[in-house]
Amino acid sequence: MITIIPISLQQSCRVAVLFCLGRWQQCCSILISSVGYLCMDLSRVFFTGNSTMNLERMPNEEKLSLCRRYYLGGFAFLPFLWLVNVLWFFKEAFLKPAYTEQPQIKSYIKKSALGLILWVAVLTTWITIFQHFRARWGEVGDYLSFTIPLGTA
Amino acid sequence: SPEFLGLGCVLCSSVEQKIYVVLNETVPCVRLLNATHQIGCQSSISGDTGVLHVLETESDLDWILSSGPHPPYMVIMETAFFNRSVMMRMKNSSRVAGVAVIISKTGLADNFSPHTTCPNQNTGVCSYGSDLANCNGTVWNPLGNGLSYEDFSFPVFALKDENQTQVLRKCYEDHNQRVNGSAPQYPLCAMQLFSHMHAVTDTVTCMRRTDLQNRFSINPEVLCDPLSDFNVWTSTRPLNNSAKGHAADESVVIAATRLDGRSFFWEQAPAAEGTVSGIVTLLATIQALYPVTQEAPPPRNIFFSFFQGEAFDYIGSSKMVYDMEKNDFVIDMNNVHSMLEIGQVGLLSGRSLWMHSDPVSRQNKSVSEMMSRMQSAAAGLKLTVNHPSVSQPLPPSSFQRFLRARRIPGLVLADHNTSFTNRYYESMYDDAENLNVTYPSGLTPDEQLVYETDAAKSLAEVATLVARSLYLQAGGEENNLNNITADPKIVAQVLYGFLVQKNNSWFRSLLPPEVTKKGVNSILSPGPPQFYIGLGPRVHGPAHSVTRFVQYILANLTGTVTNLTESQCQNPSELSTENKDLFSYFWVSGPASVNSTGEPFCVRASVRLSEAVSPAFELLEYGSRNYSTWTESRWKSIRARIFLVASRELEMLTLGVGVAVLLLSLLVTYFISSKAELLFSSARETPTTTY
Repeated sequence: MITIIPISLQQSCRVAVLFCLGRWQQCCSILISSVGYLCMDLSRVFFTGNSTMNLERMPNEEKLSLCRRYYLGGFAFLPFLWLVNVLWFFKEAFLKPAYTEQPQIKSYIKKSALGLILWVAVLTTWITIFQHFRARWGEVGDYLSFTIPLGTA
Repeated sequence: SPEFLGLGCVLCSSVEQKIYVVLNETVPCVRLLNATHQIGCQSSISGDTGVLHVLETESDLDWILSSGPHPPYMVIMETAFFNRSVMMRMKNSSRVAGVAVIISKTGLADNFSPHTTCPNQNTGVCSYGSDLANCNGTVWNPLGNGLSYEDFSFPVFALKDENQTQVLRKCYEDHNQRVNGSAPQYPLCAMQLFSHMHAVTDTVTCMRRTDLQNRFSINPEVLCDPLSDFNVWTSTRPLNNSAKGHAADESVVIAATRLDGRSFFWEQAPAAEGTVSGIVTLLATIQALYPVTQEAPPPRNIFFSFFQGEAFDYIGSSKMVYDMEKNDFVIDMNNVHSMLEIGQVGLLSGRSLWMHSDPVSRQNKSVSEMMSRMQSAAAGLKLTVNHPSVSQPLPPSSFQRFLRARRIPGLVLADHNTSFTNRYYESMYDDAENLNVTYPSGLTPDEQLVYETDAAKSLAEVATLVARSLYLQAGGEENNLNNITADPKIVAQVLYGFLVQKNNSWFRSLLPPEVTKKGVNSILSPGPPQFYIGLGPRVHGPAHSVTRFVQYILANLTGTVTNLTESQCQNPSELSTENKDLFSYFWVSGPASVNSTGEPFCVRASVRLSEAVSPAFELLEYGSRNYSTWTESRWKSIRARIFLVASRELEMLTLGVGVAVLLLSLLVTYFISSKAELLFSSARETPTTTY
């Protein structure tokens, strides 16, 4: 019985859609995130010219451009960039004495934090729903899954 | 520690061997699935562990289910307690980690049938109204408790080996026994059972997941396999195997019986009264009929068929009917004149047999003609054949699948009138003793092989009756009837081989040399054969042992010896005198003499195998209501082991002490490193270098 089932065109379209939908969670996220983060790392080295990440030694304009780049990069479905942005520049934005670029950095940090919270909420909701209802969804649940556990529903 | 377990372990070098005692012989209960349900047992992926407790009395049951202080328990169940009420209470309790049932005759109840009360109720004849369907008219297996069809979420193993049971009892007595009514103290003896099944829910889900795995996953894994094997068929006049569809000028009387059985546990099915009685009778019938049908052939052909998988919604017979309707078999439904099926015929009461028929086709004249032929055949013998009440439906039988396709006249011969006389139907206790096949003590195996028990003589008489009725049904002359007699010696030999010991001299002479020479895993391992259908050649190597035995016995009974060499026997199409379409060629060992093994030779017989896999799997209708959809789950490992466990408090204490030591060591390291200059200053001036 280990043969490819010949299924009708309608059914195969449905299978393809569900398959892609399920695989999108894994494939695209893995692919885009890894490519995205890699690009950000390379671009940072390329544009700033230094490979160390010591913020103490960076001039303020460079700090601002770095913050902006991370903020914009996060829109490409890369929420970890926003997380890094918030954690890294938090001290710069809120705990250091004021300097000219600080208000802009502050706004970027706030917007990154907002985007991050939104992402966390959406992902948590979807993951909770999926884990709870996958068994009940039967066929749809199986097509959306990457690995199906053995021996349990 | 190992000394408490008190078992010799000579070369115990590894720690694991010092802790665990592995139980070698395991007989598990596995998960089977059909279109809508899953049945059987399941353990967790890393096994289920529980403290051993032997269930011998009602107070033990109470202890396990409510009052015992060390749940979950692994129950060692005495035979008398393996019934529906106790198992259902275990199923509903959260304090039971698993069950190991002691299989023995001591304490066995008067009846035990884990099968349902109405076997195969959804895949038989469709045309019964509500008054006859679902056993509303007659309950065939009233003693059935339905345990085989329940779904248990803990593992259930069987303990067949007396020595192993002793090991468990000793461990229990040494550590777990209650002293003066107070609870036993840790460390306690515990058992861990592994029988994790991969498939869930039902066949539809399982096959869908298997297909998904095979198409899209990096690591494809099959989750379940359909039950399948082969039917065995032969005929008095050879049929051309390459010509499928309607066979011209052939009117065929079918004589059929089933080849399989089952029980609660996996691959355990002695099936003596349920299956062996039918097989033996049909084999003896063929042996009785064969010489006469060659000398004075009747007008109609007689087609003998052994159906595999009948316990699981008629796998073999539904496949044969499906092939006949699709013109994919040597004959089709238009060729079939009538059918006689042999049901359970081993436990005759008062030398009377019953001819079961279908109420609707009873109105047909041919059925009454068939009955009167049978009665006239029985007149010459000391048997009486009666027919049950006209309104009674057919018992569960392969004939029901044929009736589902077409109204052919037919009868089912059985030793019971209304419900089964078999009190251990489809259970592990339906063995030689249930069929009254016992041998006097002091006989060697070879003497036992040919000893004619009363059961053998009785079955030989039934076979003579069936053979004579078939001859008459096929249009043969009445005056030839006296030449048709079944040989009780053949019956005795087959009974011995199928009920007591399959590795006997007669079976060895019938089988090919490569089978008889194989080691432990061959089909000739010691003991009686088990009649569970299994998963067929794709998964489990060559065909099932019982199928092979029947095939080669038929080749011996109906075949002719040829003087072909071994290579010619494998490829007979090269010779013009041999016809591969009409016959099969078997290279068999031959009888062994005292000094040496026998001289192999080639036998030509018109015995064939036909595939017995449910049409649902060919049509890819895994949720089919018309055909059998039974599959068996796959699993990684099934094993059992016992060891001593400590109390929870001791475990937590050990963990706590370990964590405390870790924190303490971190603290000490921190202090030492911060005061390093003070502690490790040296008198010499060392130049400081910056890195």
